[in-house]
Amino acid sequence: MSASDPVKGVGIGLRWELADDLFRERPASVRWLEIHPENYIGRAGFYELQLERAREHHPIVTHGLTLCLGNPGPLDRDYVRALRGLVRSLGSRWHSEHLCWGGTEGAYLHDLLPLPQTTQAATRAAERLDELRDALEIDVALENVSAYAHPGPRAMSEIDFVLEVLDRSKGKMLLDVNNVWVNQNNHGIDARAYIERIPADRVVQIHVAGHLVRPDGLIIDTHAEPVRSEVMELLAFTMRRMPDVPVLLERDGNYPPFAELVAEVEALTRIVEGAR
Amino acid sequence: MSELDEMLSAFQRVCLAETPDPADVARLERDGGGPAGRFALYRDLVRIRLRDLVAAAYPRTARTIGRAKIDALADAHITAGPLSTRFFREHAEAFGPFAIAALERAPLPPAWSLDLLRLETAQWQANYRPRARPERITEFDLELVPIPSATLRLLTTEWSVHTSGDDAPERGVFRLAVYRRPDHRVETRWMEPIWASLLADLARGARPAIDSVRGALTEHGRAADATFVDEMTTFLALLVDNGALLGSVPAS
Repeated sequence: MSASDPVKGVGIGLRWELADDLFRERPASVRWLEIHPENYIGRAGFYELQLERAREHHPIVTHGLTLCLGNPGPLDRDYVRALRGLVRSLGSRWHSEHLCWGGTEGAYLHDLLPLPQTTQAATRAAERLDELRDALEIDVALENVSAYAHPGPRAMSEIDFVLEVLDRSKGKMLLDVNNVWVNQNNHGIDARAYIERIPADRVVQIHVAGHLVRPDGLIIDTHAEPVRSEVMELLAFTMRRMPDVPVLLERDGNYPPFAELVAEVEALTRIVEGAR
Repeated sequence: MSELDEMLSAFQRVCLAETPDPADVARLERDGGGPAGRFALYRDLVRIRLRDLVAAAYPRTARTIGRAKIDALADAHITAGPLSTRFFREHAEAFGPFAIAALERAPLPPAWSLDLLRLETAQWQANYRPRARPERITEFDLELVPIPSATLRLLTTEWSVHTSGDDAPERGVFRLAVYRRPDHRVETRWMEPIWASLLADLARGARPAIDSVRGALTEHGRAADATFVDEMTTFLALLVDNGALLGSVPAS
């Protein structure tokens, strides 16, 4: 594998805790990597070295955490310029950000917070997405987020909100299957009906991850557990609609032995290949 | 301010205020928002993530003063309103000076907590700072002006927190240099007083290195004999090889 290979099959998020094992073992099942630009822009040391090593063997796609599409105010021009430089140097095929907000009045909450599901919020997100797309000169995908609550009145359902942003923009979609499952549990949406309404030709990437089920039944989107069988089944359903879309396993904590993670990637690969 | 932005501002205050305003919570839960009580979860998630970041960035301080106390400092940092960076690492870096000032005002036991926090702050900074390198830099030369690494931090502690691990340190005066090596490892080096004086002057990058050497000799009453020259050569070679000094540039 090399950085110029197409982004296909199953990848994992590059994390400090996984890097040494990943670069030493280079499992064939891990076909590509996703990085958070915020971890690398303006930073040196091990992270810089890690990125150099990653680029030797894997195509890399960038996935942002802080340009949240629903944020008020203009895009941070200096940061977008730096992001554009990183995206270009990595040859990222697309860049993704979350359909959420993460801070207002100059603050950063370092969380992915749910937006009011209103036309006003959808319009803002669509405009911000297109502005970012124009600045980066590559496709920008929005990711649907998990939610534990909804702020204020809801003018539309979650899927209508996502479709509204897609309709109003030139954006692509990063479909997080685990987040759809989380929201089915937490808010009673119909996960399969949701996925059936997503325009498959707009989806460039899929996320799956593990989650935590609290004693009261609420699901917390932790990315710190293995992917549950229900999410695997929902992924299989999704892949039948969009069999060529690359899948990314997110793991952000409570890291298992690397062999267990690779086994999880292999299980996902079987689902992806079974859909073709 | 639009209705949307007023909603987001209320949501943010619920997450960041020392005590959430019930009116803000009511606004979020109005007209079908909610479920009731669920926004407290977001407040917890935001705070827990930032507390965990601080505890991970300052692990020895967290173990030494206890998780509850460092969490309280992390919460005070949030309430003070410094969440102005998109970079997680910069939030951790901003915590260091904030907590140092807090411990200077109101010390926390044990007595070496402040020194430990200062050391971990320097180590955190050295860990990720970009290594800016001037274009016209040459090999280190005593006749030229030295260029220190942007990662170099110098500090003097009253406790030997650089060697004590989680054990109680010794009391004394310890002059330390913290910097990132070319292999990306952060190194903390104890220095004798004369070498600490020399490096402090070299790190200013204000005059040819030979002038810094003369200043250190005068300050410490040493002669430039063969022993001194041998020790100095070893010390400077170590700093250059390990990345604390990048090289030299001609005096401007």
